[in-house]
Amino acid sequence: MSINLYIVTGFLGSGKTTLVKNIHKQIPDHNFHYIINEAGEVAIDQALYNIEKDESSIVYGGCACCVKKSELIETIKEYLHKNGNIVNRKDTIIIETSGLANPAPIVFSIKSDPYIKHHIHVAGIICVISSIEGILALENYNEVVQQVAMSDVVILSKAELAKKEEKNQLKLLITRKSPGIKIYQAANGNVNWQELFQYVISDQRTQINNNLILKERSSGNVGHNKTTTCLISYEGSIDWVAFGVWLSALLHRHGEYIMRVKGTIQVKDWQNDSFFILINGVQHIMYPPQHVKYQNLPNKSLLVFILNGINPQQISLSFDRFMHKYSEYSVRMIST
Amino acid sequence: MCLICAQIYTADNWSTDPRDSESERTAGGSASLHRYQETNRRLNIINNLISRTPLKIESNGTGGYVISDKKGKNFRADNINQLWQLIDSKYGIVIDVLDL
Repeated sequence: MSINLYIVTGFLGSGKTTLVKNIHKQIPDHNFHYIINEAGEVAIDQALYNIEKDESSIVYGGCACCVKKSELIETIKEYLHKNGNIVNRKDTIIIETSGLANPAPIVFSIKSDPYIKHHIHVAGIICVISSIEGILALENYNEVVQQVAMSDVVILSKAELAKKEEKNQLKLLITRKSPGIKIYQAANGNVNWQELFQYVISDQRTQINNNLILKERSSGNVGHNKTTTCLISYEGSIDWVAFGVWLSALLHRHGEYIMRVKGTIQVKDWQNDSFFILINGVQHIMYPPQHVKYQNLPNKSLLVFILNGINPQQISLSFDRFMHKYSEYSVRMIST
Repeated sequence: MCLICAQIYTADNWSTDPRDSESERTAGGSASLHRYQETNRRLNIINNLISRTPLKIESNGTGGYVISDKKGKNFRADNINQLWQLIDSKYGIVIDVLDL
């Protein structure tokens, strides 16, 4: 039995603390443990939370994605030791990162620790963006682009303060950085967390909105910071064995430049029946593939790579060549 | 084995098998045969990819791999991610699928 862990990330002043405080208020039985990461030498956020000390831990004096990585791991281990009895365990951990943190190394640390990885399930990454300063932040700070690209959902905070046009522009920019991502709005820090958590752990989190992608594709390069998107769409079942070898080799060699890979792909099982599975990965890390349980999928597969510093054409060409050489079935690429 | 919950750790990897229903994990029968065939195909693809190097990859019989070179130096990898890491770190060989 593993504990679900959510990472709440977002740039400085985006409203992470307000939103996380709201989880504490909204979820009635308080079955959460909070780990707060502050880059500063003095921990202020814990006081702001008004959360009991045994319900929270703090990692301060640096980012949990780099200098305080080992402290974060120790904090999680300490929590697991204290709550060794599975019955008494709180069933969810929330990590609030510092404003400059890159969520990928945090996920990597958790998933590569031989002890923690068997007890903690990284259920999802939630990115908070201010409706007011979001556009500016996305256009000027690579940290924000990384946070958006690696997240499963985005929450627009301070939605009550921004005009509708500003929010629409911000949404457009976000979907250019991370095609198909689900965006929630939070006015006065209010989000339906039960619904959001349910969405993140469901098999819809990597569902790609094909129409949205096709609409956005005309924009080509997705903006500043060398961030580009590679879209691979094809008909027919893909050979899972060949795909696994290709993607694992690609992520080993170029994972640091692949901010995100997600998609829905059609494969065949041992009885030759086709079904869809969801692919979801952040940099070098792949989450376990999930079966698609919903039925209304278009009869084609789609893979999305959010890249930083790699030419998208290289990825699609490599995929195409590899599949033609090693795939058991013929795959017809629709577009790249 | 975990001291807290007695869970036995396995070295499963995301690329090994996307089908997770109980019936398909039953030993013996068509599913097992299919998995065996897939393992062989995976090995063939990997060996083809590294055919210009002095390395050879074989199955260790439990879902992992054994890498060996012509001098008899060999290493064991639990999964495909570890396989690429060892090829890179122990033999200094980098496989780049973008260069195909």
